[in-house]
Amino acid sequence: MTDLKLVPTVEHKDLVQEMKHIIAQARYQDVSWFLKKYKNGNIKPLKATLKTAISIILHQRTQHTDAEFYRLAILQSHSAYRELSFTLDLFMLGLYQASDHIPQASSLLESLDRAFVDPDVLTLLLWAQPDWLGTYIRQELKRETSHSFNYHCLRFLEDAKLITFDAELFALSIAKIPEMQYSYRLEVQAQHIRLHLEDNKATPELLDRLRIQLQQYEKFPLTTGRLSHIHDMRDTISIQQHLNFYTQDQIACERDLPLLLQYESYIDKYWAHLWIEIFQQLLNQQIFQRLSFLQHCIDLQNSHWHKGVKAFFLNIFLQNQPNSTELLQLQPALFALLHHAEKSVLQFAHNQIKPLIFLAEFQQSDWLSWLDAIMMRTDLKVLVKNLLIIFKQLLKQNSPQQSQILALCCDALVQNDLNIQERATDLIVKYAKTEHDAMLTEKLALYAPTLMVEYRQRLQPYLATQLSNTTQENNPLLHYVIQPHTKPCYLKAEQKIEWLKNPHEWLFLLQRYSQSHHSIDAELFLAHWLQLQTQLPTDLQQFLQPVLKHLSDYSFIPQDDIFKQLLNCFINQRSMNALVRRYSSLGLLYHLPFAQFAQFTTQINNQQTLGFLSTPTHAPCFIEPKILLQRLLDYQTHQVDIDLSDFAIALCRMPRENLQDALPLLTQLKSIHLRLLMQFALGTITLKDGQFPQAAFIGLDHSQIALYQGLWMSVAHSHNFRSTLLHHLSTVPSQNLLNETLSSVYARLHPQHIRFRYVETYVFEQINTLGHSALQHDFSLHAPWAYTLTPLNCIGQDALLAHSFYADPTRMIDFFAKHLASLFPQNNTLNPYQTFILALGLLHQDKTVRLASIQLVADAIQQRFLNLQALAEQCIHILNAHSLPFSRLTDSLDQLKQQIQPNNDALLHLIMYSLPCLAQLSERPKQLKKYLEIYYELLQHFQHAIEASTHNILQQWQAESPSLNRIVQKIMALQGVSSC
Amino acid sequence: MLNLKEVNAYPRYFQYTAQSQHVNFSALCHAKKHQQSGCFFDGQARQPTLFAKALVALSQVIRADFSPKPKPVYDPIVTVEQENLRFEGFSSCNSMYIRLDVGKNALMGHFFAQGSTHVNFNDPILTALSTLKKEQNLHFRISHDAVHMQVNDTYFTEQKVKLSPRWVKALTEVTYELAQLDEKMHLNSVQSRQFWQILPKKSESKTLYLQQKFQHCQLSPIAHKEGVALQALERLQLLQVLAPYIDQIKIYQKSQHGSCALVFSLPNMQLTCLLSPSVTRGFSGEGQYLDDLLHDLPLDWVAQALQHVQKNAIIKQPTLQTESAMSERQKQQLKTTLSAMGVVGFDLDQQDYFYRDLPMHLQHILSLNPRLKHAQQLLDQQKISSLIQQGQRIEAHVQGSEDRHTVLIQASQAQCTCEWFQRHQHHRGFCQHILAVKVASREQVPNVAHSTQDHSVICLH
Repeated sequence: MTDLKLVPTVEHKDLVQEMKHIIAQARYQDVSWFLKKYKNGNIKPLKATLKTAISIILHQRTQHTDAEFYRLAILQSHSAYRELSFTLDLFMLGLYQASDHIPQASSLLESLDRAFVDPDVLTLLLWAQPDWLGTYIRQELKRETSHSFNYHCLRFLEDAKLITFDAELFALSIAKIPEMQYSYRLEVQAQHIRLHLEDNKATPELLDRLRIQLQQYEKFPLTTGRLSHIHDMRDTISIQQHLNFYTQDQIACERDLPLLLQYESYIDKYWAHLWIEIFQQLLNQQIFQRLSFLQHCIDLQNSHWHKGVKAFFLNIFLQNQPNSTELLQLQPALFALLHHAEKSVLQFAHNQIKPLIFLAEFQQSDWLSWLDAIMMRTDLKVLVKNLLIIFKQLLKQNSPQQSQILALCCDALVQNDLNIQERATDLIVKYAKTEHDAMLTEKLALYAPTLMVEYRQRLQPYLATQLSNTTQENNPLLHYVIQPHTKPCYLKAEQKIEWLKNPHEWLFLLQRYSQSHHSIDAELFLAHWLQLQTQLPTDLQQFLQPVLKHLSDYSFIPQDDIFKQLLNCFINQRSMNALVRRYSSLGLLYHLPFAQFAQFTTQINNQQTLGFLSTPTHAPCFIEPKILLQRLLDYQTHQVDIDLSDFAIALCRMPRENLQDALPLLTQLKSIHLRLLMQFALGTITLKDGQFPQAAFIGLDHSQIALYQGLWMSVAHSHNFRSTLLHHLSTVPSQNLLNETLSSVYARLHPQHIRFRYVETYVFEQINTLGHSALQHDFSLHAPWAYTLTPLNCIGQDALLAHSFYADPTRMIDFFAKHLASLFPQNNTLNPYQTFILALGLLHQDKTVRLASIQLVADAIQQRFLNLQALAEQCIHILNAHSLPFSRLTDSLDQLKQQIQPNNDALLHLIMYSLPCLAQLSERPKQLKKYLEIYYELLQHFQHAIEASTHNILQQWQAESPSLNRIVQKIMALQGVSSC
Repeated sequence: MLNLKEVNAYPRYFQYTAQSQHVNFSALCHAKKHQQSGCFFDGQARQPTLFAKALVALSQVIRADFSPKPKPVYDPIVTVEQENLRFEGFSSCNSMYIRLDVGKNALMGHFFAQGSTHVNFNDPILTALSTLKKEQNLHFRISHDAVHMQVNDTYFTEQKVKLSPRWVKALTEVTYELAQLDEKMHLNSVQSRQFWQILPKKSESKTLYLQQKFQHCQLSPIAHKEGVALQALERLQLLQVLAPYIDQIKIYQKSQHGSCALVFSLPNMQLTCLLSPSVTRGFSGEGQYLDDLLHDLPLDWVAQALQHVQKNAIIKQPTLQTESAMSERQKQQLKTTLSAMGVVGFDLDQQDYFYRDLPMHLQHILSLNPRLKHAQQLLDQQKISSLIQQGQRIEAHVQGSEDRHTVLIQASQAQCTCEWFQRHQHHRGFCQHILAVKVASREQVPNVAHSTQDHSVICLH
């Protein structure tokens, strides 16, 4: 022990200083001595010092004035963190009482545990008598389930009267079986006690307690020989030791182990086998009453406890294999599980109840009263089918609960399952009597909309006639045909973008842009900057400061936002070289934002307020022709050369709408090249024989011609070639869609005589050339931006997206759910790539993606622009190519059925188109039954005839698979064709 | 042989609760004696299993922590009205509010007085409730300082605990939010069964839109204007135990960016859940109502309204004698003030406020709303400079702790360049700078009517 140069009359200041030294130097051996000597009369400053030390050392608060002292002192004394925290823990144990705020210290439980092996700690505890130990340990164990506190140590603390019995605490502690090394510690503890007794330094009271403790340990001698082998921790010797202790120690087995059934505790799964053995022995020794124990195991399942603990007790229940007599006594407890949310627990309850149902003592009525919840659960179809079989037997036996059973059969009709509806209908039709009419009518009124046609007809006597008539009258058949393409309206008044008028609004635009992921916001911000630059304060940096400061704090610069990265470089005056290098390798398309930013910096430097030609006027990214012409005239007035990349994007964003305002401005354009191009863009001139007019390029040099040709091509692709391109793609077989590269498609459509070396202005070609590099760098990251470039014709982007999605569907999950709906056009048409993406989505492993796709397919069907045949073929092609589970398609179709109008036969067509494709597969898909059930239901609903080819396919499947026999027979029967 | 029940004969008390004591449930004492002892209600549940399940579900939500946040709070607030009981609370992360309204037909017993208490529902009582069988009884007594329960043969006493300030703060927000909501969807019994089937089992970060289509309810990640936007729907999984009993679900929402309330109808009971737009957004941190608190209502109006709700348990029109002289805006402000004190809650089904007897005063409002307090400090320290008001447009600069912030208010839209606004935009009420500018600008307008009487403490200037 270190000599302390302190006298009893020491000043508070010196005392505090000494305490700080003890802490910083981790002299934990001095804590007990120090506190015994100076605690009385100095408790307040000592607690304050401890609080500061804890906040600095344990909670890493560096702002405190003492922080530097501790840092240096710890450095000089080379104190280890473990020893430091132990020293602090000892001070806490010695100073705090329950009325104090005990800080959360991760090491405190460990230090307390040390009381078991370290007589100094024990002496300190016995001297200080902290009254908060039990509460603290319980709270810690509950706060962090991975924490444990040794049960033996807890018992030791209880024996030493340092804690009182706390049921929950003991349950939490006993649930965690100490590791094997603990037996070593027990031995060490016993040795310490022996030494302590030999030293004879302790008080008589403590010595007595230690003697008792020693006897207690020696009662359960532990082996220490194999302790060095960590792998042997759970060896049989160890298990036997634990088993002996838990089944022989009276307090453990009679007082504490039953607590595991009352308090939620965390039984370590690694020791599950031991726990099963312990409980088994306690049951065998009749320390636990068997029936009561079994009942607890069942009751626990309805508790809020952790699933793993509940499953553990369920397992013990099953291992005990209760007999019928016992199960009959446990009936009420088992029934209570029938409302359980977990499928497995419900199945367990059913399995236990099933053998009892036909016994005389079985409380049938009570059981039936619990079943209504099960009958309607779609995740329990198998169980519902089993129950219907049982009901059939009960009804055959003239069960007195006939009414209850029939009501449950009605509830089963809510299941969208052919087999269940058939069984339930059979039972109702066969066993319903006049006295059940009212109940059946009331119940069936609710379920009528979900009933399949066949069963609705069979249950007609119980259905309100009014309901069925109204349903038919209000829902005439909607035969699905693709709607002719209608010209969409892009420039909607409500979509007009408001132009900001003052710098403050612009500042808030920057703030909003920092949170948004829309590149259009960036373009708007830059455009406004140019426009408002004369009004901006001279000290722009200070003006932007409040917003910029926050922007640097947050993830302002995501990797997928080129504009944000460029803006960040510009504002912070950093080099853009790294960005240029990174994006130049990705493809020519990525030069566009750089070009736009270069134009921005040029205008800023020249104090020009012209802005960009391509800034949208209408959301999401369209430009009104009149505005574009006005911008061109402004450039002309100011004699500023237009940026052709910017102009190319502007042309791609300009629909041929509101032309009456724009056309008069055309004549003001002095440049013949621009005038002709704008005339072409506005649709006032057309191409003759697919040739651009010669006058469009007169007087231009070779490179300029190429650039202008690119502009003409951009316009052409935005408007003229759209229909041709779609027509071409529709002729490509769907399975070859991805083999047909865009280059080859475009190549066939390009007028052969047009050759150009420069493609900066031909945006579509840039998208085309993006191809491979975009796939490597995850096109989804940049897709939202790419889609804003050519909003009138996004087939290139769609193709890239389809490739990217097909190549790695998992990478696209977030993107799909977030952006896909906004990327899909609102112009009532879907190109083959979009259809392909939808097919991929319908079969996606992620449920959210499937839900999104189902919604989009349903919308497309509703608006009649989905090519069902293409979708069906693509679905089957993808299923086959990727060997995906067929159930995904079935599930999607099942959900789709609920999302489209019941009288729309689109889904039937979709299945009909897919059947021949399925038949061509080398291997018949599994789970065809559900698929055919949907088909049967739709055929019946629309009274549709199957074609001869389908008939042959079904016959073939029937021959191959007996499980399909029944459903195929049903389909055949609809047509009056016997399958025999 | 030792029965487990006998084994439990060891001192059986529960750490959080008072020591188990025998409560004489069998013989109802004289009503007057009950009233004197502070007893609000004494009786039994008519459907003990359902009632127990509902209480367990409520407690489960209160214990649940949907985001890694602070230590859990276990204490539901219990309010006894003339003929109803209300149990309410928040999930530990504060992102979900839950209230169980128990009607008189669900109870057999005596209502002695109106009042509220807040107790912990700890493990033993929850375990007992969750294992209650159909034939067993559930008897309980609610008094001002405790809730006593007799579940089967075991007695439990849950003592009153200190109400977390975070909860009080959240209660004020929830009342305001609930009062703003519109009914969007009504699911019948079949659709409500479907609803539980389509709920995501795992944590889902994306917003899902609930839609009703052709007799079915569907979830989709794609935004739909007629859909109800729901985030982190897995929060409702804890209520699935009640699914078999739910007759219908009403869903309320103001906007798709805001919170969403679901009212589950159980036999003679109702369960109201309010979900915040995200699990990371606790109701205690919202502040949508702060704007409404910037008023100059006379103190005696607030006092009168408070007396009225105390007496009538619910706010019925007219609340005040002087109400005819009040504008619609002032009426709303009055209700918001009562909400902000935490003394009233909102019943969506009845579309009315109910009284909750919490130890709250008007003075607590500032302490519960640091943004208001800081706005007050900004005004006191004259940190607002260059306030320009042109019609409905106000432009001002407010000196913050480090930077000078710009505040721009145009009609009902307000923006600020501060970090708080940057992070939350308009989703969590106004920042302190906007609040301060609003008050300062109002003072500049000569036509604002100022009562000569004492004004409530929430009138910042």
